[in-house]
Amino acid sequence: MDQTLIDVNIKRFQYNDNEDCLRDISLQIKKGEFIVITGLSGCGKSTLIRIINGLIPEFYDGIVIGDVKFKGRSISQYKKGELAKYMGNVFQDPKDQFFSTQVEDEIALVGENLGMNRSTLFERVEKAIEVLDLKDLRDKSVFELSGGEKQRVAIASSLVYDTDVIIFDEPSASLDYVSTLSLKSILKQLKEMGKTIIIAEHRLFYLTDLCDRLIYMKDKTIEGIYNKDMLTDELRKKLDLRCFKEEELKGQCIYNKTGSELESKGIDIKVKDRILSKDINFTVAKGEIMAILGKNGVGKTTLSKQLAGLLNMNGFTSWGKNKRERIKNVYYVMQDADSQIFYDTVENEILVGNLHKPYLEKVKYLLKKVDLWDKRLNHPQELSSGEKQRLTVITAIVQARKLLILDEPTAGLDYRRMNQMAEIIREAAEVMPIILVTHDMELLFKCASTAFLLDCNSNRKIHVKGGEKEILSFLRGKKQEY
Amino acid sequence: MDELVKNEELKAKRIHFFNPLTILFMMIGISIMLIFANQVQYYIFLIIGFVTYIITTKENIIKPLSLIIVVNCLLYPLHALALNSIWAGSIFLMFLIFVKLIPVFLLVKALMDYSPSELTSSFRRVGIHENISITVAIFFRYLPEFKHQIQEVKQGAKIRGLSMSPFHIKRSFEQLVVPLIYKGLQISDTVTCSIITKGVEYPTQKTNYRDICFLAQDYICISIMLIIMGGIVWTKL
Repeated sequence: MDQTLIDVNIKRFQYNDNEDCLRDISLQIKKGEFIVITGLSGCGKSTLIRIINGLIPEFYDGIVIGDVKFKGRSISQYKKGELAKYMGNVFQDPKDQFFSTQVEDEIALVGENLGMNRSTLFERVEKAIEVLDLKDLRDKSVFELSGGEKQRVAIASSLVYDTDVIIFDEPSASLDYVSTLSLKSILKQLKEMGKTIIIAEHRLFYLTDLCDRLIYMKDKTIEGIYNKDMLTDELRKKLDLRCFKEEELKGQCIYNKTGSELESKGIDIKVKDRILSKDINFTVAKGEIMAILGKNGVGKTTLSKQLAGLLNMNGFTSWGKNKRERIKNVYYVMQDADSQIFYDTVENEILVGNLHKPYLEKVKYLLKKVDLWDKRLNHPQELSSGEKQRLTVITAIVQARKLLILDEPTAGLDYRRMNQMAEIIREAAEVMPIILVTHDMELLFKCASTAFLLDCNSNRKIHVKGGEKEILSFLRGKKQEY
Repeated sequence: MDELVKNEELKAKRIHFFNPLTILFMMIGISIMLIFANQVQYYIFLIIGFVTYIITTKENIIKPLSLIIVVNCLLYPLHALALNSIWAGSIFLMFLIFVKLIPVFLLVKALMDYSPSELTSSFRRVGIHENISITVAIFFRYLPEFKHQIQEVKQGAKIRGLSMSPFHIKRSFEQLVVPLIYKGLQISDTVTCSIITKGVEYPTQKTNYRDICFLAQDYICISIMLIIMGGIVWTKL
């Protein structure tokens, strides 16, 4: 029986700036359906999600012309907070979305808020912990969890009230490959439990097997709705979407050494007194983009910070004998772009007082290349997160130091932006060697020529072109398959 | 029998030794009393703060203990220096304020160990309004996060070649504060959205997952605190 659970009919929606953020949306979602909403950044995905889960107008002000019905009743007729009984939400940032610091408390929060009977709450929390296999983590602090574990906790909290609908906003943005695959299996489990699932997402490879309908949004409206069997590579290319199947990705960069090599020897990755990985040796040359791959928690960011002179380390690096020299010779672009932005305009951020003509020309070229030229007089902290990422990367590139390290430069970017990023990274590699820390398989295969596989026991460097299978099986945590 | 087992289970949901309100009470009491306290009374507060911190966080005793000993040892030589110039005197004064507030810092650290759910649940039991309890809980929840963000921004500045220096206090402060404010706004947006969608505004009697009531240790602690406070006020009268 066809049972429409959510009925969205929005003629127009504007935040308070008189610009349409959604228009002519008509979408009916049936019980048990698995819906993926995708489209380029700024297409209106997140706004649509906020309209469905009631954050608009509850938290975000705006003018809504139209209505959203849940179970036949307009959501404005529900009491404040009542929707939490029927809809669970998992947000993009796994860390900041938690109110509580303890796993068990966070899971119980929905039940507490909705006044659930205490003994029922205990039972439900136990069950949620069991379903999502969180037994070993229940007493842990959320700060100690990996990205994937945090997402599992967020999902578990939606099971406490046994909500019909679970809404995800880019849940894989900060997950590594293996955590994304495990998210896939959890989603499968939820689908089998009969949950209605709505996901707004750029990365699609883990969703194509599960989704019933793919909603493609463009220019603030729904441009097309596609069934699972319509998801072909032609469609993907036509709509500029991210890949449907990661196994089909092929390395596109040939190892091309154009300058002298930088060398590092005998480095241990150390967090406090714990050694995560020992004796790391590698060389990286101008013209080369070397990806550092490994599971969450293996110490990729720590290694990057050590190489960049931000943390102490033992071992040798040819670009600096000590921390001070390393920091002078390496530019490290952090995962969190916000922490690296200090000036009052986009232009000043990148110029930093340097007004030499060739430098200005280069800055102009780069700003135009990443579509920030028109925003050069804006405050950089007020840009969108994707724009901030692009700004920090080009700021790093114009510095032209001896080595550039990029830590997750494409987290949360759509296909077009990711492509743009790959292009500027490749151009920058002609000037200096680049180390790329990434979970983004498409970026990896698009621009990395070599990959350093970081493991607790054995580290090795391989060529990306031709080594695709080895890379994927390494990331899945399996032994080499061939 | 079943009921008994269940009750035991419910009690087991309490993680920390003290009710957080006891610590909050001590914190407020000590903050006020430190204004009047003499040296002996200060050391009493220091011991109270230290013992509460150790019992609550169960952390290694060496770090806070060595900090307390070192700053107390530094106090006298610095005092001698402070008499020489106004500059040294003002630095000494700042140091003195820091030393004086150590008992409060220890209690703040102890409170940071509580999960926000424990805090809100203890507040609810004594009838404090939900808005206040959530604000206080979020404040303590994000203190460690704030510390982490400061480190990140400092590292970011280092990479850009903008080192923070005590000689350029205004510039350093601006460099640190602007990104922190934006980050703070972003985090508060996310956490507000998250708790709204978790039904925090739903008009009902909320359930307490953790049962945080006042136990014997809390009454004893509060009584001791009241006696000390009364004693100090008495001596000052």
